[in-house]
Amino acid sequence: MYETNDRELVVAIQKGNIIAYEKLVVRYQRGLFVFVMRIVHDEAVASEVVQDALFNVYRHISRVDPERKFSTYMFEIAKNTAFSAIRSKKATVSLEEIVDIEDDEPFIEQIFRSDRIASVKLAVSHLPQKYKRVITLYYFHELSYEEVSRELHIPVNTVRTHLKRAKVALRKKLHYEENT
Amino acid sequence: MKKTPDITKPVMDRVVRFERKNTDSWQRRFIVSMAILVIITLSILWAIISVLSTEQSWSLLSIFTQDPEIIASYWRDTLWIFWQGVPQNYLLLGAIAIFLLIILWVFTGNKRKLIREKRRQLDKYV
Repeated sequence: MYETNDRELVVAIQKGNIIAYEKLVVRYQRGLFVFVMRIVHDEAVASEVVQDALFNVYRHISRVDPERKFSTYMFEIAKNTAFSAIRSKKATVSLEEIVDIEDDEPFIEQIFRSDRIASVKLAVSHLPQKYKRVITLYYFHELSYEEVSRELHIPVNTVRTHLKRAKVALRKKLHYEENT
Repeated sequence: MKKTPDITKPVMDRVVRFERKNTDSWQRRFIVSMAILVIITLSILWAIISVLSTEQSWSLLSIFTQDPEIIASYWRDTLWIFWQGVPQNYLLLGAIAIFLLIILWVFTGNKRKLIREKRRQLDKYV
């Protein structure tokens, strides 16, 4: 069966065929994941990096030259995104040390994926406005740190701090509800 | 072989969200720009008509309901006098507004087509 090549897909996307991008995502995600894993050595981070890379490529698709090899461009973006992730991960660690906030990531991730989402939403609604906005955009709208930062016009590090503090507050709230 | 996570849906959801926001914003800006220019053009046109009505310039044109000989003799002079009564500064502003409208329409032709196609695709995407 005839399979559309990268060049045709890029041209189609540039002409507004958004759904054609799905084919490129399916085609490249595995290769990218393996490639990024070699750089970041962490499955969750690799998955996030590949998502960011694929999204960034889409955002700048109008600037992609269809005559050039798309895979080279794609892997180059993935490599840069992976190195940025490593850099920002280091920055996050040092920020956490400064603000001295405990790591509650597994607990929060768990409850956001659990069937307690209604009580989580209720607890979120009782958070202070600045934390509520960050946590809603990050978890419910699934935006990245950078996107939340752009959306709220605050620095990325502030987003991270707000998110950390929101999660601590949320954990306390949920623990309190559980015990009462 | 180890299975890699399927991230097609989260990526496409982000793409769709991004495009919805982008196309909405572009359409809003385009509609507002067009509306402003149309309102300005209509206001200028209204001002010109008001001036012509106040000066009763329209009655000059009634010559064209007369006999053909009269029309043939006086149409140039009539139109010249009528033209003199048209407020030239308003006319210039109106011409600029219409010119800008045409420019906006022509220069956004490709973009409008692209946005239309994207909206069609977004409607299809569930």
